[in-house]
Amino acid sequence: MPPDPILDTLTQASKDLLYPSDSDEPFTPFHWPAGPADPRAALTANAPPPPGAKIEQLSLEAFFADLTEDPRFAALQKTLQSTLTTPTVLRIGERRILIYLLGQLPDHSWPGLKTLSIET
Amino acid sequence: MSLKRCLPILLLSLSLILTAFAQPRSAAPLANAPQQVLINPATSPQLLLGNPSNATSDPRNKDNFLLSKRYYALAYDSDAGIPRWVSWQLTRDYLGDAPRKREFAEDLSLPPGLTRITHKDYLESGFDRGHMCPHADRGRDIDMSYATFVMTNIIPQAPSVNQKAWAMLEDYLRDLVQKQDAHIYIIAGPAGRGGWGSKGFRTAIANGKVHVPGQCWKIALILPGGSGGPAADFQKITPASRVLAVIMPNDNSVSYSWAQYRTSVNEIENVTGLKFFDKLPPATAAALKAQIDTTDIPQQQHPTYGDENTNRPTPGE
Repeated sequence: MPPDPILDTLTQASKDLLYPSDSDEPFTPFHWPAGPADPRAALTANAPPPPGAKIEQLSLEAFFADLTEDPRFAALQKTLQSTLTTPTVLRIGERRILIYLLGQLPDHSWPGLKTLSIET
Repeated sequence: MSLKRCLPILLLSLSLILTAFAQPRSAAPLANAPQQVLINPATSPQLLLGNPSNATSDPRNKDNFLLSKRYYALAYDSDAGIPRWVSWQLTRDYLGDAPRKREFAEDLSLPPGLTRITHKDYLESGFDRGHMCPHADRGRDIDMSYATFVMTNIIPQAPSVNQKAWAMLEDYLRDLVQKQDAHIYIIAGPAGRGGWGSKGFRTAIANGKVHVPGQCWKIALILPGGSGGPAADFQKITPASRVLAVIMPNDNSVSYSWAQYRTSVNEIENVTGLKFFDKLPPATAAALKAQIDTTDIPQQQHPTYGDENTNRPTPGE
């Protein structure tokens, strides 16, 4: 596979970062192919959630709100804002909640980071 | 100016005054939520059924230190880094949709000399930060919600316990409150030593600072609701009141069904050495402690896993 600079950027920006909840989970980068500008459509096309799963969308600002005391989270937020068009956050499921931080590139592809939040 | 024309201005001024008074309350709790106010244990609604270990607020009592918090009470075992028991009242007044806190706070209300456990002490441990008094039992406002994200309210629970059977039991009790207006008095805690997390068997984590229990237990005294506070609830307790007592292994092979783990309070006393219901008349307490709940538990809906691929290994795998 040819090198993918955006995957490298996202890997570097999330290196050693763990998302805090009942558990602590790493971030995994992904890069989905070009598609329409709707993040939910991108999710359905590339990582279809189980039928009936609760899906919630929130802003990047809301997602990072009480995390940016850690400068590494603040830096990650900046990286996402500066590299992706209209970055957003999708939360899928309950209790074990899959979180996608994603946005588009000029070529309409969808890179982002995936993590997990345990919320009981 | 007629009254009709002044009225909007009057109402606006009134709302501004009210907002001004409301402001400090909604703004202040964020910084101070973890260091909650301690209240008088003798009159605390969170301790209606008693103090199962005779915990005291003498800091020399390091392994049985009473923290009578506003929204729940507990006995902290500083040598084990976990509570011995946590006790709380559950009624509709405590429920709501207040947001969660993501990073758990160390308990700044512990006096010097007692070990303070931090969020990071559970990192990479293979165990979840398992709430005793759950966030969803304290969702009325952000102050209440954040009060549950304090490490003295947490034990290391196998991920499957925390996310499956234990969570379903919490849902079941909250359902009784939401749908039937039940008033429930709950005590929960750890028992024994050594559990199976996602990284295998551990007797302790955080370099020995936090002991891993072998079992997790919960006792719920379920009373009819209605108006009236804890004193009125106390009068409703009879030898035939419903007691739900559960003890389950702290093991990652536990599934969603918790009803199979029902037992008697007597059995939990045998396993833990604690003494429950000591504020009740002895005959009533004896009858309640011998009960094993046989109520038919309807099939509960459980959420689909976010991603089955991220499911962690269980001991057998």
